Amino acid sequence: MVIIRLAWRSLWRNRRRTIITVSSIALGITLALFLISMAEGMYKKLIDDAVRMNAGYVTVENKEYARAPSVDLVVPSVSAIESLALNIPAVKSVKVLIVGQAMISTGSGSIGVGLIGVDPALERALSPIARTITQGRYIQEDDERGVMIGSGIAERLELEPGMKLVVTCNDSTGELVNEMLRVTGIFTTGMEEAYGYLIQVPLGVARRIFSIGPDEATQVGMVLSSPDRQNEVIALLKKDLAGGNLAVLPWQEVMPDLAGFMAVDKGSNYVFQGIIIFLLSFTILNTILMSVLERNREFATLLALGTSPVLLRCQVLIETMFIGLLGCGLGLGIGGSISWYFHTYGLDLGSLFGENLTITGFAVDPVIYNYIGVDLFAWLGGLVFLLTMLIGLYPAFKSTRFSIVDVLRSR
Amino acid sequence: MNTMRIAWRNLWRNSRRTGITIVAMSLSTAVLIITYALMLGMMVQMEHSVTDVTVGQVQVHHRNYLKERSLYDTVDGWENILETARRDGIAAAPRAFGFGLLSSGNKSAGVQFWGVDPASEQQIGDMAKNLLKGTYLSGRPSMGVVLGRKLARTLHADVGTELVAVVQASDGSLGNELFHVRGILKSVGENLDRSVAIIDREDFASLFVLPDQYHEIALNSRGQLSPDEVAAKIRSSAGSNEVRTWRQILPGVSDMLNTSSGATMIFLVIFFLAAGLGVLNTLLMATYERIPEFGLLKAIGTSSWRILRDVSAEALVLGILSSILGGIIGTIVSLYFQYFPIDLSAFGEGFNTSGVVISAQWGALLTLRGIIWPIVIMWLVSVLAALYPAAKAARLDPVRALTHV
Repeated sequence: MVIIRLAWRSLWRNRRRTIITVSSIALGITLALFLISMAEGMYKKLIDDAVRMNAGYVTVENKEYARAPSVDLVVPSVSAIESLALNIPAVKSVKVLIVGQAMISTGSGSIGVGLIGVDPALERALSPIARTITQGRYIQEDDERGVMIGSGIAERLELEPGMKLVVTCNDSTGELVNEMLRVTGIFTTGMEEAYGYLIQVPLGVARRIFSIGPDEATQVGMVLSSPDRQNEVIALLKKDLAGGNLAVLPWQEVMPDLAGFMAVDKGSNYVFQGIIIFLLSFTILNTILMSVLERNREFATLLALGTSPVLLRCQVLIETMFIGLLGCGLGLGIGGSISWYFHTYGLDLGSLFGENLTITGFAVDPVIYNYIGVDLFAWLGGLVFLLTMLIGLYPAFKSTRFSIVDVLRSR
Repeated sequence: MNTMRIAWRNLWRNSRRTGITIVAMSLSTAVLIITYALMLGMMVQMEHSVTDVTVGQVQVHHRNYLKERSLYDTVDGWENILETARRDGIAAAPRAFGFGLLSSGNKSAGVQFWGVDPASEQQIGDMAKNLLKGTYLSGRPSMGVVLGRKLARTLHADVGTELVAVVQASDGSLGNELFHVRGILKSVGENLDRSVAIIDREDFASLFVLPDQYHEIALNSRGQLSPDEVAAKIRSSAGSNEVRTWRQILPGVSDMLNTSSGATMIFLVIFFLAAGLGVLNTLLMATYERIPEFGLLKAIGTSSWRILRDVSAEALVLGILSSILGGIIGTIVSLYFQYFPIDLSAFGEGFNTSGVVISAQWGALLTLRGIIWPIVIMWLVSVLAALYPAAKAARLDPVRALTHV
């Protein structure tokens, strides 16, 4: 016990040295925490936008659909699955989708598009498409002929809200059908895949065009309250839907392109995380090494007075432990508050760099929201504390390895 | 000169302390140089992935073409533009565009035909290297066609498949020709994947009855000049045509890259802060530990200014030593990553989003600025960190300084 008190006191006998060492650790953690939470926030946002726009974190669809997407491969009893899914606490909302291929034409030409039937009320709350309307308004459930189109399509077919277009596609029986629709609004998101090739219609309209039954859809997607609970939801749904011809898929399988991109980008991010943790541990090493080595004279005096080397080493280690705890606590506190601030209010890159990110009218969201999770605090704090202790071992053993007489004589 | 010699001796009087400081400073400098090069490499690679496939850095069109996409709005005086580009060492590819229908059996699709000169296409971009199957156009009119990946799937076409092209030619007649598939492209962007059929320019000319006319000239200096510089050089000979950089043509992609460079800049600032503060702390500690020594110097009559001068000289020597060491290490490692890119394919395959091909190979890009900035910052930090405690010591009463812990 005495040795702990001794360590604590000797820490504050040279207050400046302690403050410098603690602040090294704290600053390092603060910066690393900010960096990692910012990167995590960017990924979470990208995935979240994509899954909200498409078929959720977890998608239920016909087993055959993934191999040969076609509107006759439907999920038969949508409402049953919907109520089943809503009973799972982690599921925030359930998206019912009808996804098909179609060709749209106007007097200015024609292009192939992905036609998506959605529940407009739900979609307005969830999807980035409803947030990024540049002209007109979003579709409503009772829009018998309403259609949302991407800005790329609008440009190429010279369409404006209120104008007509003709959709041509094969329905679920293989029949070629035509349908006249009227543009209600134009959206633009950052991804060309969306603004250049997507159109959205109310579910009822999609069922009419593709001749799909009222309780049928091609996809049922689950939007989760937290992406971390994805596997849990998949397991539950798989158990409940076992035996049927339905597949329960994670978004990584529904959108392999996005998953691939995230993986590569995450890889580069790990490199940066590695570099910053290297810098951080290096700074800790320097300050701790220096602060212990500068105290040779003090240690020599103690040893000369008869302190046992083992006790002295213990004391130095305990001091390091205190420094590590203080530094980690302080760093997590400061870094956590900064990250929390940007988690809540976001960091607006547009205004920061004065680049006219929005002037073109393209709604690439230039605001980054940090993501903070308990696990990040735990592993970063734990890692840095461990590093500090490891680094502290060397000077602790070094602290008693010198010729007492030489050290005491020199200055 | 004397000051420098004293500084040099002083540094080696406590070689361990000096060693730690030099290692700290040079490693931080090296890490910053490497990080800067890696980040720059990533940003430049992303831009190149846009410009170096088909888009090019700058495109020239008839002033109405992008609005109307009419077959008749061709580039005026394209020979002059090609000539200017050749003189300035900029690769230029003339292209003719026309819409039509491609069919095979009972499958058909509306497509945009690109009439290209395969040789100049290979100078401006790497499209020929992005083939999934088959080969690129040979360079002679041979009724071959290269298809986008998704278009090939729609048409159920494979290499060798015969396709019928039906178009409305410029003289109003119906153009009708038989093509066979030579190659299928990898995923290189949504538009190309879905709706583009690439044919030789002479095949295009006879299909559309449009000899020696082009709708677009794509220009690319392959990293020699910036897009704006290329545009400036070309404008003089462009006449009434419209000259636009890729950022003006693809504002969405440009915004996306800007956002991502913005985030990268913030990362960089964090790295500079982390390294700078690390060095600051190490140096502060090193100088603070010497306050009793400064007190001794003062007690035997050294003036405050002299102490400051000596400490600054030491910081300067430390700075020089560490920037040489750090600069060399940083340069070597960065150059290594420039020639042997980091392989991220363990995490996933390369991928394209909105036409930006994210490669799984991540190379660094070392620039002079990327070496100088980290060094300058380290110097500033080291002088600051040394002067502050020294100034404090110089003002301190010698007796207090001597017993200072």
